[in-house]
Amino acid sequence: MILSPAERAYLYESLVQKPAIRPGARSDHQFRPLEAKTGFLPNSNGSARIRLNDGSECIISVKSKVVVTRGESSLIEVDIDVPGFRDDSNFVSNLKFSLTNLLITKFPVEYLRLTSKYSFKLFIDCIVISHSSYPLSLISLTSYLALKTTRLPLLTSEVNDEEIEEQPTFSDDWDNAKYIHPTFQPPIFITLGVIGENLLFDPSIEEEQVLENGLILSFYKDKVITPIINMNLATNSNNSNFKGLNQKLIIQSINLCNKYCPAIIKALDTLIEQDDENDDTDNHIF
Amino acid sequence: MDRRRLLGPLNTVIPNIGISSEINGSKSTPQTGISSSSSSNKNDIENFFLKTGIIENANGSAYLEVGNNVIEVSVFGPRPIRGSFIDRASFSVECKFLPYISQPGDELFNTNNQFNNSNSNTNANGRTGLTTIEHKISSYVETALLPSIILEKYPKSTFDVFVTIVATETPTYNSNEKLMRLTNWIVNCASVALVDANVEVKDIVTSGIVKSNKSGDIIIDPRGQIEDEQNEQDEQDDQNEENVLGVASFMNLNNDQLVGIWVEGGDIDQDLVTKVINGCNDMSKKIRANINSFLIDSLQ
Amino acid sequence: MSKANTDTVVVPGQYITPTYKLQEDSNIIEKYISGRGTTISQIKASETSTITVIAASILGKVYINEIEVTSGEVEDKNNEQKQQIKTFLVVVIPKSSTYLNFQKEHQQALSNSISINLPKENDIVLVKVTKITLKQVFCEILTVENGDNVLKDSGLGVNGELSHASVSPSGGSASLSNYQTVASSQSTMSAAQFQDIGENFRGVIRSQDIRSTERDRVKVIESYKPGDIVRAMILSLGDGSNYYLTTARNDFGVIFAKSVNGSGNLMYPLDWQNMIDVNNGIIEKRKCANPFA
Repeated sequence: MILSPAERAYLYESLVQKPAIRPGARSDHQFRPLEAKTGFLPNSNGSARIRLNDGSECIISVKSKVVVTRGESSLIEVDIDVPGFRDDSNFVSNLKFSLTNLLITKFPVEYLRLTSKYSFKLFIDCIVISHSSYPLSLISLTSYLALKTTRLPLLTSEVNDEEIEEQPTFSDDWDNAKYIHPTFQPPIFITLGVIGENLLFDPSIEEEQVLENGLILSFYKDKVITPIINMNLATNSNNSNFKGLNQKLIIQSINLCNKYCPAIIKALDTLIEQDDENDDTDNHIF
Repeated sequence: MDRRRLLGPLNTVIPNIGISSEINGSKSTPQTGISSSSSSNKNDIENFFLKTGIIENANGSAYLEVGNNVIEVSVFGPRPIRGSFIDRASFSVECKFLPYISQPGDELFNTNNQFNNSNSNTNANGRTGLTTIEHKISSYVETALLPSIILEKYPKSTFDVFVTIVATETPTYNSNEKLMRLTNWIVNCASVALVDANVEVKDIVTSGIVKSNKSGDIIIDPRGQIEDEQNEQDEQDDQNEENVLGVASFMNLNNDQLVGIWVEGGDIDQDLVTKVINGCNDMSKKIRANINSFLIDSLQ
Repeated sequence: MSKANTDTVVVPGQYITPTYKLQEDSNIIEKYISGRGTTISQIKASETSTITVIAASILGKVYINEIEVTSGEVEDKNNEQKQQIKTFLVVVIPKSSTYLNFQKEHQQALSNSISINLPKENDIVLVKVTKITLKQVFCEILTVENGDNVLKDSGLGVNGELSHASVSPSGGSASLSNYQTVASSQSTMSAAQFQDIGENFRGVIRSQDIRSTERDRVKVIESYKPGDIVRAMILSLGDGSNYYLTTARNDFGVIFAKSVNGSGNLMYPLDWQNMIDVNNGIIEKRKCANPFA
């Protein structure tokens, strides 16, 4: 969607105000309302879906496989599919790079170790069914839910198999399956829009059209972590406002994320709890 | 044979319209330059070799050697577009490794990629696609250069930047450092190529790279070797996890605007990020000074 | 005063002069206008104040020329003293620009332009006719008058000799990769699809824009034929594909044409609508330009 010059100018003027006047009366650190559901794919170890009020929707499934640790370059593999974009397009490749990079470098792989020889390998498949704004934070929030609710079968064989030639065996009872780790919180991405002196959390597609720059920060264990990158969030647009940013804003963005992101994590955790409670009554998403 | 127009004879010479006899009409010879900084000091930047105008049929081109990295950038444009009217030029970047070069982080990021199942990165249709890593570099370069180009002056046109990586660092570097170092120099090289193409820009974008060590100090323009000396003893503990690596690009003469940032690696806080940005800025200024003198020399 | 600034080499981004300057020892205000190869930047002087400066946008030499201001807004009414304003045009000329170098040598006023060499409205251009229909003439824009070649090869095909011998299926050489897979904020915009490498900017002359009299009786075939070199003016930037051109003036029209659809010899104009091939006496109809009009 492309705004007319008049709409663009109006939106820009409202967003550079101090404080910014955002469409939908959002405050600058407020996310768009979202609806989530977890654990609905029977064939996956973990699954999650997030829907936003603008119709954006993302489904992620996490599957696991037992592999010989030594033979794998990484224990996590991410695949992203976005309808309307080729798999080898820059758009999809960058989403994939960002998510893979974040999970590979920040995921505590020791949680996936089964025995001294074998590990679980996680395959994270994302489908962005529809999206309007840059979908990275949508995908990463969904992957948070999916990984958080991923249950892996319980190992029943010996942990130490260095001496014995034995394949790991698992408990037949799915009820014995365990979460990856009780306190584990997967890392997430936060997208921030830069306009004037303002930093806007989770910019919508209209806001993306007039942003001066975009920042992507990652958040893990209650603090901002690397990678931190900047990019033009608007796709398919001729954004004439795009320009360089003031260095101070980077520092400011880290402070803001440290301040507000714990609330996001908390909200997501609450979503999972609520979902668990509802589990018995309603197991369908559609 | 092109049938859509009446072609001139082979070996045509393009007339220099309006040229006066006093101006020497000889074709501009490619210019070369070598940065003058010595590499003795740890915080000095590595010597680099730069040359422009090497590709005849591009509007502008640049070639850069630094360490074992060899980068070549060509710029095409302004060229006409097709389709509906646009009032500002479109800008694209494509970055490719030559096929025999192993890409940093290949095993992590280029997995599951249909193009990489065989040795060559050609898919079933015979069309060459970019790998995930090539895409990542392309988009960093695009983000960094986009604010500098005055696209308003070129309606209905497109600029296309093609980056070819001819050689990369030896495997002693860890893959992240290799990738980010490469990205850093590609930005610098592409900026010079844009200037060579006479594309109107607000400022030349230059970029710097820094790395933090365990004590929280930063090393400007890290080179794998230096790190190896320092960490000879504790090579077992994964040093790469600890270090923060940062690439940042700036428009130095335009209020030091930060046009690109990419921070990777270990734990960070605001102080460290400030140090990283300032370190990159220092390095970008040194490179800028070198590029400036190179460009001025090339005109005289 | 301004002479001191001329002929210095500047790199892109380098500040040339502030937009307003007070001349030393006098009350004359110097106003600088950003011309070709320059841009206006807001530079922060301190935390609170910014200065508007003219900065170079290309690599080249700076030329600052005083220009006559025709409009009457020279005097500052709020000021008691009559302040004189001198206006200067700041231009950066790249090394490769042969036409601008020529202009500079001949002390001609350096004109302002949208860019180094892209055509804009009211620019006079030389075009080559590529195709004609009953309603309009399609052409390629070769060069802008008082400017430079639009593409540095004048449409011969950027790839020189090779482009004559081997041509990709689309004609001319094309980019190897699919445009959708390239990093660009507009990558999937259908508008930003590029053409073959070596393709020129194209223009259209509609039949009613061919001449200014008896517009409805114009026959395109009696005005232009493929291969003709025509002098025309840009009416508008047109759509994504074509500039809109006009030749409805006496000094616009065919400059060079060859007889028998390009296979004959160069023809000379007899009058405004006839040209003759002096070798074989063929007379063909063209809308000729009168360069002395």
